[in-house]
Amino acid sequence: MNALETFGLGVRYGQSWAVRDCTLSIEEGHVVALVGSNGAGKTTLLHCAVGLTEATCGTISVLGDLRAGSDEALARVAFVAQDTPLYRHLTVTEMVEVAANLNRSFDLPFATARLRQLDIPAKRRVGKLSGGQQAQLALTLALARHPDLVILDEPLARLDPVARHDVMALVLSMAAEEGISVIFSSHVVSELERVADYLVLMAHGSLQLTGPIDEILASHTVLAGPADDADRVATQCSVVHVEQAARRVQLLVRHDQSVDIPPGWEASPPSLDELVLAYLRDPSVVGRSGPLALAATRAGGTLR
Amino acid sequence: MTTAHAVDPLHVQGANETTGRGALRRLLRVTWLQHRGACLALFALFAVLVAAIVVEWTRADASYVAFVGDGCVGHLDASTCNNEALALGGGIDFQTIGTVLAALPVLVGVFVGAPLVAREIESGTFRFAWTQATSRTPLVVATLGMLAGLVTVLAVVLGLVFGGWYAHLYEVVLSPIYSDWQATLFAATWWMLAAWALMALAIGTLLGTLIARTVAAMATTAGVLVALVVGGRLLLPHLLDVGAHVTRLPGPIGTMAIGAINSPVEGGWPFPVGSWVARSWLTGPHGHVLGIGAIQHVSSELSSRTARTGDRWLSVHHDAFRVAYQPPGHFWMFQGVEGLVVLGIAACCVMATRRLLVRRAAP
Repeated sequence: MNALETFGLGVRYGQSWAVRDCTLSIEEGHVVALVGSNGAGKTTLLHCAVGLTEATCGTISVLGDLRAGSDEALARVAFVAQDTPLYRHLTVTEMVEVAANLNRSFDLPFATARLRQLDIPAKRRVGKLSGGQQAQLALTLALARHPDLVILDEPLARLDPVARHDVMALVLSMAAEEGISVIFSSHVVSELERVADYLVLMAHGSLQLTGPIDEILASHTVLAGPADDADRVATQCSVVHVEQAARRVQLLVRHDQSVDIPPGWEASPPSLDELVLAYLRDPSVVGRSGPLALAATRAGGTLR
Repeated sequence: MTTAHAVDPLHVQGANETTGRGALRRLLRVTWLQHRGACLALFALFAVLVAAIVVEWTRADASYVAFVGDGCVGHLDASTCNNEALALGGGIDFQTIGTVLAALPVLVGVFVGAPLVAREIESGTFRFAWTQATSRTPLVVATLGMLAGLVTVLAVVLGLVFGGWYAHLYEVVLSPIYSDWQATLFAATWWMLAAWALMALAIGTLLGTLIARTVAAMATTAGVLVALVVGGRLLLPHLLDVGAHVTRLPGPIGTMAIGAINSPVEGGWPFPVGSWVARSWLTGPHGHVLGIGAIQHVSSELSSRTARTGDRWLSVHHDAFRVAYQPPGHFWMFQGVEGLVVLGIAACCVMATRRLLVRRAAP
């Protein structure tokens, strides 16, 4: 069963497309990192997944064939929105009460215990909590529903490093123990590898790269060699990113099978950070091969 | 999976009830938590208005004792009694309370209806509320329904208390200034107050959903509702000519004018108490309506005659003085028609809101 599936999904606001031609299929049980620069379409995609935004074209379903945003889907999907909007005039207790009353099942002891553990005062108004506490509260309310799919839009943005670590540890432990799927968007590239096992990269509303992280890493290699030999090497593989320093050049290349290391060149596996940053630096990278692509990269730092 | 039960301090009751009554109770609790400020403000306004009416009612009762004690019942023509009658009614700031009651639907629309969805969208909390297991349409419709229930109860009680007050006065003083048909009182019956309050709530909610900005939605709602209230009041006198009874009278009586009258029945007029006189006109020998020149001629002829001789003069000249009036029995018919139209508008607004909500994309 797929946790999230889209086919030709497009969302248009006025004349511009926030998401276009998005075809995606993520099996359940994954912890998915949705990465992309600002305006890449991450939030729009996540809003589509919970029915907050209607698709202009294409289809989107969750947890098998449940229509995104349908009552059946919402009963099994928990969503924590960017900036964790909660009712600021309510106390923490009342906020929990609202969440409990809006859901058919709600694990109150879990919510209570976790909020106590986090030292979040039950009688304090939500608006008086720190940004991190609000994020923790929102996450607690989502997890207390014991959903099959948790969708988190920038959950780490307002958290300090310790809280960030704790939050992701909790999400991961619940994913492992209860087999829930998690999709989260994030700008914190450094922690992706530790947290996620599936990557979706978006740029300008389109999918750039998608798949299990170990497979993605296995299909990319960093080749380092003489700059004057770069054109020749570039004809043989799909170059994603080029970094040139003096007479040496470093190519991040993408390949379907094992790459043949050219004579005089060294090959090394890329780190996930390195790979993601390479794609993020150029949203239009599609990994084309050949001298033209290399020339384009040298000229503007991009491959098109 | 554990379900909600008592755990202090985060105590939640019945979070897992899925039956209709349980679901309703849960939504009722959510509505109260989210909108208790508006509900309490409504209650406060309600309490103030009821208190004002009750205080004035009590004072009027005390005055009535004196009125009866002075033997004024049925003797309003005596100057002393007339003054006492005026004092009985005049001390009561009837118009002020009537005006506040007329403003009640506007207040409901602006402060309860307009922010209902607009505030959710503007503050972003819709991203929380509309992604829970209770999805957006049932949530908003249930919330709207519960607020509508509260507004209806308050409006009905206010209308009944206010109606009881002026009906009481009317019986005591028999003064035409308290005619049910007058715009202030016509709009302040329990039925009309409730209908207008519900329409205002629905219009405010629709505009809030459409505009998605709280202050702008409140301002627009205020403008639309004030226009509707004022328009309704201006339109009412014209509507009260529809389906009126037409009768032939001996001649213009007292100060009764020719043309649009729109006045409650005064002493000496031969209409049932509680009627509303809409207009009058003169007809000629062939039943046609006389023009201004002919009217002036007839008026000058009748001015020097008594009612009896004036009637004879009209008969001889085959002229007739006719009056259109609404009998008291038509009052609730008019109330019913206007109320149903108003409720129809409210229903359309709710349906439009529901449609907008379904189609509404996250901003």
